[in-house]
Amino acid sequence: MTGSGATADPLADALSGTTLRVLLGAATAALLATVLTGVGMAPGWLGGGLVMVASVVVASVMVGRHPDSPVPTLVSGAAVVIYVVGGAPVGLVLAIGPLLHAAHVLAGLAAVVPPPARIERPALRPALRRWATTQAATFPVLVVAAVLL
Amino acid sequence: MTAGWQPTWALRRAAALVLLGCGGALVLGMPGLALCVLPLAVGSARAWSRGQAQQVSLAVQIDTVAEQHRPSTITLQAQALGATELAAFRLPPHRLRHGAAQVVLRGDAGSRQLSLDLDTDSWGTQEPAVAGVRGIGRDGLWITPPSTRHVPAVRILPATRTVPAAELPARAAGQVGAHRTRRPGEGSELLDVREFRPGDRIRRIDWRVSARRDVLHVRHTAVDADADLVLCLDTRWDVAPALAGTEVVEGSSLRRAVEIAASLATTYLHLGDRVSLVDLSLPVRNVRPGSGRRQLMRIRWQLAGMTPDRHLRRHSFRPDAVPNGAVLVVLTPFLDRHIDEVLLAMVRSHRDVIALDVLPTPRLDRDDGYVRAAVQLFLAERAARQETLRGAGVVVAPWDPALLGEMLRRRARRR
Repeated sequence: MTGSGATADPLADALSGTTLRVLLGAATAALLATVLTGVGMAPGWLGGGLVMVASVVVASVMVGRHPDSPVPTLVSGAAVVIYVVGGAPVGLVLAIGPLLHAAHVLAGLAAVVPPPARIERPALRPALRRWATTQAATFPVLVVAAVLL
Repeated sequence: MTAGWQPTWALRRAAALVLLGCGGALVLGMPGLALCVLPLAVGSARAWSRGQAQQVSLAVQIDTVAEQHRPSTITLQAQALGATELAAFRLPPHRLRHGAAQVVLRGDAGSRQLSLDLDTDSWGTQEPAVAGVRGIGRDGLWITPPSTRHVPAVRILPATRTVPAAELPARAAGQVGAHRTRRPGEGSELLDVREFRPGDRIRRIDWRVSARRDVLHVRHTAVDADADLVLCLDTRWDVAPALAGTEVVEGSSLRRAVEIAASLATTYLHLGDRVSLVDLSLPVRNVRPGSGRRQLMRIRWQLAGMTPDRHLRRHSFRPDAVPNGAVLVVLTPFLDRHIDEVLLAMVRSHRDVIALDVLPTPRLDRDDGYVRAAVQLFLAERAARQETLRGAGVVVAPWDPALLGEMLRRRARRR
């Protein structure tokens, strides 16, 4: 029985901390997949490169599970190093830049929001807006650089 | 209250990746490296600003006494959030109707308030706890230390439901109350009208009858008296939780006992009777006889704190502990012979004893032969003991709001 004067749930449409971590894992997987594809490991995906797929999945899961640790830093750094070592075209930065930034922001938020926590949606809008405006400002620079270099 | 920002892994990551990208670009001559971390560097620079050192504080408002099925709210207010972008609340482990253990709200409005309903569907005591809040900077680069606040215990009083009532027998002593007696004396109930005799009080003269008969007549009345109801709870066991996982019974014996006691206390205190509470396990939870709304609050307060205690400390009643003429209602699941001895001792002291069986309905639909046989054996042994008690003069019955009134009426007629 609910009391007659009970208030409505103020967190009815809230997100959970787990959702943030899932998004972080997805962003990390997209980042790694983009880098590995860009450096010429694409045949590995189709030709039975299960080790590569498993590595991406494991790394993404580890990042999603431990955002408040050095793991996201190591995985992001590894992505950048693979990009350098693999000799990928400069144009790949058009994908790597936004994904690296998204993974960084998601990891920052997921690190301070425990999985069972509930987050009201407006709380995430400033971060989303900041990410979008940053992309809007830097993407033209990346495009010009990719064309010139 | 705490002050100061603390860096997080996100800040260290931003610094490391920007250094890696820019340093690598300079050393290796690969501008692509710097371009990779350009959005991250710009975004982190924008999020870097954190304002002055924060002094986030937390205020908690909560009613320490709530009523079952009535709304009650806990309000947490984070103050002085300043440039904090998010406010992460750690809620106390009280039973809440909505919410989770932790809640994150937008916090750039200076202060944020979070109001959540307590779950008052069941009575009981929610233990004191600690709530906390911490501010989170932009993109999680900075975080403030937690600010904590003590949250007091909340006692949810059992609901007050009235049940069909019967006339309780009046006390043998006393001069005031709502019940009639047969004892002559000062009171409101007229016994007869007789001629005036020396020694009669002038104010007892019935002037109307005296004028009609031309001789002084006085009114002869019976004294008024109140009635006592003593509610005894056998709180040694809470059967359903004790058998959790076995699915042998549905419900909880202690919960039923408390709700019945609250209903009886509400009913008879509203009628003007005196009600007391006796916990057969913990005398500290007893409530002495009394009447009125404050007495009802006292009894409900003690009932809300009832938890099982395995020791039966009350084996008998002192003669002055229970008023003469009081009706004793004992609420027990009849689990062992100790309670039988207590009931027989009560009957031997010439008191009206009604023992209400509060054992939840056992489930006999399980296929497990051993459990089913054990439950049937226990029920048979219990029924035999109850029959023995009935033979000794104890009224043993399952709880039925109408049945109790009927039993009291029958006993009153026998008197």
